[in-house]
Amino acid sequence: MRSQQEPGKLSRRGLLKAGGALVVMSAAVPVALRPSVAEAAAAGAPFPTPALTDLATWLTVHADGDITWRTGHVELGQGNRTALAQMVAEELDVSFDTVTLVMGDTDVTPDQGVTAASSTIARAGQQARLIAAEARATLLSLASDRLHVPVSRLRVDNGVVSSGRKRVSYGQLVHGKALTAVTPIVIDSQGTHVGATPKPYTEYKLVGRSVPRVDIADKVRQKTGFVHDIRVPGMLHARVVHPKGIGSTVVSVGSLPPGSNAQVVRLNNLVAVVAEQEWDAIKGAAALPVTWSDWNGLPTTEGWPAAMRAIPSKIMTQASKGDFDSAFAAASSTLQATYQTPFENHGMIGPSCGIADVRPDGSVTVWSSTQYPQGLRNGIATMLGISAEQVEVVWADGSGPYGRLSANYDDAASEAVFLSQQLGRPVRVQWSREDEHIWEPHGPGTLHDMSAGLDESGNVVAWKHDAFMAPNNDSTMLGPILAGVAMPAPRKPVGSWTGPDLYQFPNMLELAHQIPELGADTSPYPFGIRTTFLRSPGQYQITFAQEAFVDEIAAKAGQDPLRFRLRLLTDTRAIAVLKAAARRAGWEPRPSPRKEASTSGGTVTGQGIAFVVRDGTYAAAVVKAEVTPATGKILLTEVTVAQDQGQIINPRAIERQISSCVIQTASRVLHEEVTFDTSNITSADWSSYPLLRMDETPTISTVLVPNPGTPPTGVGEPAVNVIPSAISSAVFDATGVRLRTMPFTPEAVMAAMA
Amino acid sequence: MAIELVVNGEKTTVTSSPDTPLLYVLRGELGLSGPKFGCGLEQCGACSVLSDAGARRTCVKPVSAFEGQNITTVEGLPALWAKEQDIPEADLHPIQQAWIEEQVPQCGYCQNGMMITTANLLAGNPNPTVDEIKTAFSTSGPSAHLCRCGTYDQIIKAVQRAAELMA
Ligand code: FES
Ligand code: FES
Repeated sequence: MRSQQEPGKLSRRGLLKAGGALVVMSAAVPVALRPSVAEAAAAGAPFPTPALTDLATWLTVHADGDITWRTGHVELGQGNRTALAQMVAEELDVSFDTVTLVMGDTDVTPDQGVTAASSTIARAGQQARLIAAEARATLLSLASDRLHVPVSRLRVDNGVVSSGRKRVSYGQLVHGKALTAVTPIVIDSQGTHVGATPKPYTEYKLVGRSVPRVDIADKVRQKTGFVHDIRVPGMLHARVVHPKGIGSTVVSVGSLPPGSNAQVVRLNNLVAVVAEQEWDAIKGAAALPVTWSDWNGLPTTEGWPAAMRAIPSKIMTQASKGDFDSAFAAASSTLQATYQTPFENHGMIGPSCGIADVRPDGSVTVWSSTQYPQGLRNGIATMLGISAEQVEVVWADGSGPYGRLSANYDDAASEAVFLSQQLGRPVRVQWSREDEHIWEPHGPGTLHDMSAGLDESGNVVAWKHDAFMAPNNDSTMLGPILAGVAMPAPRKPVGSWTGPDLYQFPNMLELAHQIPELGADTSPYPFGIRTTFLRSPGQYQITFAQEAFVDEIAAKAGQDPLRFRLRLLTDTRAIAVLKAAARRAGWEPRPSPRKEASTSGGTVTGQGIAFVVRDGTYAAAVVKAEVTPATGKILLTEVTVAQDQGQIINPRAIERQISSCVIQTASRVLHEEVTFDTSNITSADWSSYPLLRMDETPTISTVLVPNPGTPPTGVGEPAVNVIPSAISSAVFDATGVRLRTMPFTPEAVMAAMA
Repeated sequence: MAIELVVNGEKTTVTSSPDTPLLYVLRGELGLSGPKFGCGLEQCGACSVLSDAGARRTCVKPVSAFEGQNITTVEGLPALWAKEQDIPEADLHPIQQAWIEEQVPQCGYCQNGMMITTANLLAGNPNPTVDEIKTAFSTSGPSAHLCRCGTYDQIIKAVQRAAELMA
């Protein structure tokens, strides 16, 4: 793979600067030859934002036949740089290695929305597929003119168009010029419309193959320029001294110790120490005396469940069918239980880092690993009161964010913007581990009151799920808020139900109490404990409660948990993934808990199963676990996931995403909990917020259920949802004890078994 | 005050202040971006390098504590392999080769430390069992090596593959 930099961009800019002239912009000028935001600002000329309906925005066909494809989406480690290139090369009929993707550089890439919610392939990939099909049709029409052969008699192999002995390559046809679509591209609320029809899947040569990921060799050679590695000429290093409490404001800022090589910058409540050398900034930030106001608006780790129930909330009705109350009252037996999930961290291994260069001419360049460069661009324009056309956001690889850099874009970059503006030099803000653990927007804590009524034969006649959810969509950025810059009110964060109802019962009531952020009511800032999208937000918590509770009902009815589910389901894709997971895992059909279940004596083993539909993808998991009641230790031995994601683009990349979901979620379920006192988060490092270790890694098997005729759906999140309840159910099978409050730490397990 | 180190086989004199943790000297002064900042608390392993004393975290200990030592980062692994094999040069160390074959990295941020610890493990135990691999990454250092993307199972396979390639 070649570099991500737009070919020609740098040298062209150098040339333009040397010549002092500016190329006139029009759609006819290839994107790579248009001026950058910086050049436009320097010349006082407008900057043309790349248009989604302009074919030239999407691709450049170079004279040698190489193709540059531009996407607003970014690589987060899930392999979408490779999968998107596979889809594009397939539609264009070119070989895979001629296609290079430019991702998330707002000067040149189209705005395709945020890279999140497993949407890259399902939405941006499908869009790219249509545009690439249109590009191919456009190239064929050019070839038809050139070769004097009707399009219907042309064929394309590896970027060469031919008819009998007549042939011309894409490169010869275009040699870098801007392409104009043969049928205009239309994008409306219904989606993207093009004249061309993409290939039928039966003709795929590249899609469906485990093409090696194009980013991996560089990551192994340490040649990937992570945002943390970028150094801009003249750049200063900064560490931000964040407030003592979530709602604390500055009372006073002292001075750095004599001999410090650093400098203090204060803008309202944004306090930072900057220096030429990073270590001087770190030392300075540690030594700087800052007095903050006391603020004690949080309910504490122990107190939040009761506090959340007491906060007045809006109620969202997810499902209301039949008459739950009467059916529950008339049921021959009933079941009630409360489930709880903690506040969690995204836990990026590399803490947030962003670089900003705010220049005197009013133009801005920001380097960021945000999941949404276009969103960050607009956010920066708003906070500086300038137009988006004056801002360029250049995406660079970062530490896996799992939603941390989606709605909130990039806190560190937003702080760097103000520091750079103040200092007139590029500034790099690197958060400390403590900054990240405390100030990242966390995963929300939730509560779930579950009720079910059964008739005499064990059928569920009444089902209620009453959820209390801290927000999962905070979209604030710390920089402008701390600097005291008024931003248009971000949407009021609320907790939302996500995901379809898995089972249809005759009488159902499903409610979400949408709680505001804890502490927001008394904070001087427009947030409390910031909580936002964390891998499969909402559905992760909902599915834990529902699938574990379904197991409780199956146990009450004395039925095998797999058979119990199969009886409730009619969707053939759902049935297929459950059966596939069970078959591969060697599921033992029997009711839980097993006969030998015990909480005394030595290690006991159990099995658990769970199912979900997430963003159109069907996933089922079987977990096998060993439980040692005396120590409270849960060890996952084998985890099997079967998944139907529609069309498979890259099987190995999907399998890797599934194991990523399994391992990361096992960590969340077994170990993770954000703790806080009345003032702030107290789990500020990896020892107070531990992650799963390699010696706790289970053997993971995956089954990809083939379904090539169905459009592809997401693979980054579905398997996350099936792990928590499958673990809870495996422990129940082994011990007869149901764990309903995450995390299932040794202490919690021992307490539950006592 | 200048401090002498041998970094990736080359004698180097660095001028960062002696209390600077080695990580910032490698990344800042020497421009080696392989070792990563993950915690600054010796709690994650992202900053690991090979030193004369074996795999070491670099985010806390000052550069002065490494004076005179041989320091190898992932960037220096191919040359280290070439030297060990007495061949003119190597494009990749077999550990890197195994990492590519097994397609280990997701985001890749933690992988520097994972490859360094593999080099350290295989130097003392050319044919480790799965349990020995798990121990090396979980309990043998100042902390477990952390990967948030969930690549542990691929790392185990890649360590075994690297052992084969190096045999
Ligand atoms: S950065 Fe050194 S151990 Fe985490
Ligand atoms: S590959 Fe992302 S943290 Fe390990």
